[in-house]
Amino acid sequence: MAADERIKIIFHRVFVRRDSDGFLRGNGEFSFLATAGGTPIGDPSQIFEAIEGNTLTLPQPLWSGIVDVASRTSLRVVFRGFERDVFSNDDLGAVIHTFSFPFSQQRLIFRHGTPFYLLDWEAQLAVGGTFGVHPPTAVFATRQNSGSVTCTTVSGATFDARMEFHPVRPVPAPPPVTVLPNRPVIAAAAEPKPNDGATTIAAGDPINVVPNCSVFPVLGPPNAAPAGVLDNAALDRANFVNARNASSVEFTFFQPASLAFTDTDPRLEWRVVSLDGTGNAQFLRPDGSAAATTTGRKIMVFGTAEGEVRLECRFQGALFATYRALTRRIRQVACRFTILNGTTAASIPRAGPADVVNHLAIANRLLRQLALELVLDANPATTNGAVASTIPGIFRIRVSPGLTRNVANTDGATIRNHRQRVMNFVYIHSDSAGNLGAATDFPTNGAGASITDPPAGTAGTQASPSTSWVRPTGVGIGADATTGTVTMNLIAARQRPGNPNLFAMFVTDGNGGGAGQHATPARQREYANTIAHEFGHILNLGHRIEGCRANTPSNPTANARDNQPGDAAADLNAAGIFFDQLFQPPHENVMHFQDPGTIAQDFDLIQARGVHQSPIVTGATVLAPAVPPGPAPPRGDTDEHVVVKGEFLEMIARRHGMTAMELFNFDGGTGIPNSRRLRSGDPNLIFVGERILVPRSGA
Amino acid sequence: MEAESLAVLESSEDPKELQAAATRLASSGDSQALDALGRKLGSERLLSLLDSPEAYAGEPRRLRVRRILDELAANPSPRAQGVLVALARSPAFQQEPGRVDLLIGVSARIRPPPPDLVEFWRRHCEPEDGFGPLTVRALVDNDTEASIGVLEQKLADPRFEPDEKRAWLRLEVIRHRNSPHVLRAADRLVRAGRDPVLRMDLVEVLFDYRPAEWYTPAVSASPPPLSAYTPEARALASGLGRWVLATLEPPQRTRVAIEAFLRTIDAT
Repeated sequence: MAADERIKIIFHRVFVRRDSDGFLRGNGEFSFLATAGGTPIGDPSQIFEAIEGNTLTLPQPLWSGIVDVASRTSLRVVFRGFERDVFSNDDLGAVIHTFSFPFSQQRLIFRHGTPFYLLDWEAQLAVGGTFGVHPPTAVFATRQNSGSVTCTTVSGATFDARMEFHPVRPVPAPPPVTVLPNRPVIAAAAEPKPNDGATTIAAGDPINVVPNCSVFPVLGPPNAAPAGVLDNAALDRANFVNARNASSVEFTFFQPASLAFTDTDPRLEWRVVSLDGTGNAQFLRPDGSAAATTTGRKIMVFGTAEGEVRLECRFQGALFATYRALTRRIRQVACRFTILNGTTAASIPRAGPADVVNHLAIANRLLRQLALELVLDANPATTNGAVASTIPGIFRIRVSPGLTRNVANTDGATIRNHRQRVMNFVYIHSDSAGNLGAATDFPTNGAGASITDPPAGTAGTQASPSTSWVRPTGVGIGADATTGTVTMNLIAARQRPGNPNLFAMFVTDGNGGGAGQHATPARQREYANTIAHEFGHILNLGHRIEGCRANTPSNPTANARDNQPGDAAADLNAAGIFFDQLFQPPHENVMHFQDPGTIAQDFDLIQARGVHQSPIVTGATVLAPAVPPGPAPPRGDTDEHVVVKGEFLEMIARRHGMTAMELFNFDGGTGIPNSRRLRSGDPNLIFVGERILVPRSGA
Repeated sequence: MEAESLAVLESSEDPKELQAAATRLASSGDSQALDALGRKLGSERLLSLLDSPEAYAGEPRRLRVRRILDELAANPSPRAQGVLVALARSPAFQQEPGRVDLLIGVSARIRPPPPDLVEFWRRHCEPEDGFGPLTVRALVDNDTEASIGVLEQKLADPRFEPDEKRAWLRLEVIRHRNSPHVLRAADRLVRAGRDPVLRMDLVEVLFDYRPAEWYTPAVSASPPPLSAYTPEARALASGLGRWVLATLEPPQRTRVAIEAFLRTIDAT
């Protein structure tokens, strides 16, 4: 609900004390002139017969008026009475009352008066479009503040409200645990539980199960859906928006709890702002329709044009929170999986093709944050003795134990059964370093060695909080103002000679944990997180935080730890060349060097910007948004008539033996009648050049 | 305490109880207790009770027997190391590849390595056997004349693919490139020059660290800082570097790296 700071003034009745008519016998004739904030109320020409001791009822709604006080600090109400006289009107005095901000509701009807009359009147405040008496905590007025909204209740009390939509889930712990900037303290007992936990992802979950993504996928509108019932998998993959594939943006917390926002709360109104002039998005409303606005603390959104957008959430008209994201068409990266089975029992990876399908499904739910999807290669071609499984795109090869167990030269494994430009995933038993997986072959990113967010010269984004978690996503003013520029290093290509189009990585049995665990949901997530993380490297993302070596000058403790600002590059893995140079968030990013999928779930905006410049992504298949079905072509017995000057609908109808209304409703079998083709929608108003359908002459 | 633990090993069939008792014995200073534990670890009964066949399908580091081996390796008693060496001879213990992996891992701490252990390493570093990279790591970490001698033989063995040897050098040898044993072995291999590919790979690993080319984000290694070179190691490295510059024609980039290395060595 947009700003609704209105006060309704109701003048109910007038009790006549004296009719004032001292010279003439008989009753008085009263009239009244009323204003509220300068706005006239009632009819000053209306004459009431005034009998002393009687009450004059002022007819409604004539003697009520509504005043918008959003920009006012006070409201002056004036009610002045007159007695019509033969010679002149007698002034009966005025009732004058001034309300000052904060405006507060009064439970009683006022009775004010002059020596000649008593006035009963009332002031009602609007909340959510309704005038009346509201609960004392109901918010009447909102004013944007630094990082918050100052609210005034109908009781006149004021408090600061804050709401955040964090782009990082789960939300990092506040300082001193992390290096994140402080956020306003949430009073523990009175506050609702923050909605900031990790997501537990399963293979069958909706593709949009991870909320608060960096990229909103560009999809067709809901009315582009084909007829019939689609299963969940089809809805996940669909190129038209639906509740399973739109991006979900959920609140992280709000305060105070008394605001009690609901998922579809009308007080929280959302709209989209294009930041680059091209990007755009719409909301998928709970009723399944798409619109430019929506409401609530949990919303669904989808891109309608590629670019960059900011969502603005307003609390009764005051900017409350913002959320920035890219909009991209979904890129489908073809991939194949090959399981290298050793010739001994101890050298066979436990994961089979059916497990791989689950790993892929969960990985795709993480990658959805980037509008990326790994799709199994439909090409059955094999090399290196690979044998196709029953699932297209998944293969097995029987190899000597040394090629799959405790492997040092993993390049020898990951080139097996590859196809050019198709992402090659190879499952091995183990590598010699005990890794869960590793990217081995990847090209140079089109962005170069680093990438900046917001990009230089992008208007309007500097003031938008960044999803790189420099600042929380509050209102972009004051404490939550511009995030500045973030620069992230991208990792260099790793390509072996003669194989520039080999994109490859391996996954080990280490993801499967102990005996009998490899197919459990937790272990499926481990495999999937490894795939998503290493695929991130293949798209040139570095580590968000790396391990700092033990027993180094800057890390004298016995155990390795996360690196921190100030650590020497030499203390990091491979001199820090795989560190992306960002420290925030420290643990929740998929690219953290070792965190598990139970916490490392986020890809942020600058990473999204980077991966979409990888040649693997720019060369991927683009999922074109669905287009709503157009009108059916006219039947063979139908012609199109172009309106010329001097024609009117009835004239045209007569030529075809029809009435004007018959022609108005004629659709020629297209499903779209002339009533919807005419700009005016009015059978009596047609314009030159308009095209309407008419029965073919002689048909 | 030892007697109690030995009794548990004799009578119990509870895997956790057995693991606890064996771990206590593994940390013991009692020679007889350690010998008895060694006999038990060489028997199929205890091994099969500790870890089920299904457990061997999972990661070796999750096996119960691992804890026992770790305790033995950490025990300063020579008798404890003797138990590990005995296991390196035990067909029963080595029946499961997962146990062999673990034994290779802890064997790096046995110095000096007795002949049986050297033979164990030699046997478990054959082309594509699924143990070789672990054994190479143990050889490098053991860093004795005997262990580096085995490594030198394996590097010279033409049955191993050049890519495999390169991976050993870049992942394992690089971490100990300041070791006099490593430097002497490298010196012999480089000067002999029987394998030109290996020769240049060795020169690169000793003098021309290239993390961006060699590693992936998940698999990387770092060389020791120059401050960790002993005078002997400096002399060996310097001698080999000068010989390479004078005798071979390394690529320009490698030449520059060697020259920079020598300048730094000379300056410090």
